[in-house]
Amino acid sequence: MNKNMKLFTGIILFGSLWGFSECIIGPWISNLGAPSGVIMTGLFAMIFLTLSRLLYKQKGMQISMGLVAGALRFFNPFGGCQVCSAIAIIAEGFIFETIWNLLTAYDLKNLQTLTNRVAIGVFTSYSVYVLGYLVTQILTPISYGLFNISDIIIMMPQYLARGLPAGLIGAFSIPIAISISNLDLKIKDRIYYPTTAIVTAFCWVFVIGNWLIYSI
Amino acid sequence: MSLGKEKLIPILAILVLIVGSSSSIYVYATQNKTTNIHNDSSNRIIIIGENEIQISYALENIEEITIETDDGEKTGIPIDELMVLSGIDCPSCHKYTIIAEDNYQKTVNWENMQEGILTKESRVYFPELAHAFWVRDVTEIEVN
Repeated sequence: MNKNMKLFTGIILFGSLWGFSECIIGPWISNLGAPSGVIMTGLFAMIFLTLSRLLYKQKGMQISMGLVAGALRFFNPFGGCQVCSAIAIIAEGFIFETIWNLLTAYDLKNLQTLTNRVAIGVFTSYSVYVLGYLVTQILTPISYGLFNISDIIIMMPQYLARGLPAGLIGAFSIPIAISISNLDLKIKDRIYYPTTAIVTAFCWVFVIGNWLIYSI
Repeated sequence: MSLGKEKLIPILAILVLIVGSSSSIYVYATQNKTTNIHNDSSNRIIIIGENEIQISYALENIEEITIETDDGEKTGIPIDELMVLSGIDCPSCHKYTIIAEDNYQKTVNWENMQEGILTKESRVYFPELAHAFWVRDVTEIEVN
């Protein structure tokens, strides 16, 4: 029960942090003229997803985090199609979990060397970005009844090229997240639950408050 | 099995790096080619169907309007009037593929065209559609 509760709060915490970064930090980076999509996936999503997987070691956690982050994105009606963005985030969680379930074990047996940590960083970040982007580009026109396969095919070289910076960022972010997870961070329950509740509440109140301020 | 995965991970990473790099080179090479054709934005020409229209000519002949989008107010010429100006037969009978300088393209229908505008900077805005449809640096509108 205690373990399940810890997992549940972990999903809500990391999902909310991921959703918060997508809704608030992403547009902020974009306004600075930086490539926000690449940074959001390569840095923020990869760190939250890797940390949560290695700290909690539970199957299905990253998919669930995607659902929480996607739900938070749904409450942030900026940047066009909310449903598509929310589904893209959910897809990213699903793609990450599928790759790591296929290629790694929770004890990191095959990620002992720095080479392999960098390699999984490049492969995961690139794949999550490209496939997540592709999902958005397919779902957005579908949601408006305007899907045209040639619009996607002609852009494939662009989509494949855009994943490269995300892959290179992942070469750093995932090894760093693995190193952080190796630190012996033990938090007592009486601190863990209140901290989780406060951080989660902050993320949701900030995103919904931000939406209310800009929509009035 | 575990040892197999240990070797597989770097191979997969190298593979995506090769795919990403070669795609980047391809995109860079093809973009350079199209940019050389359309590098003068003030005299930009848009191909509409089989005709070519200069944006400055369209601006002289079609009154600009301002529309409200979720990204603020945008001013430009109504795209449906641009279609009429370019001499398309039965504009409401077609779908339209809006193509950008970098080959990015999105296909819309006549109802969307009636709500959209084309700006001086050659960007289209459709207030009712997602930003993915707001194609920048439009060079061609294909009539399907």
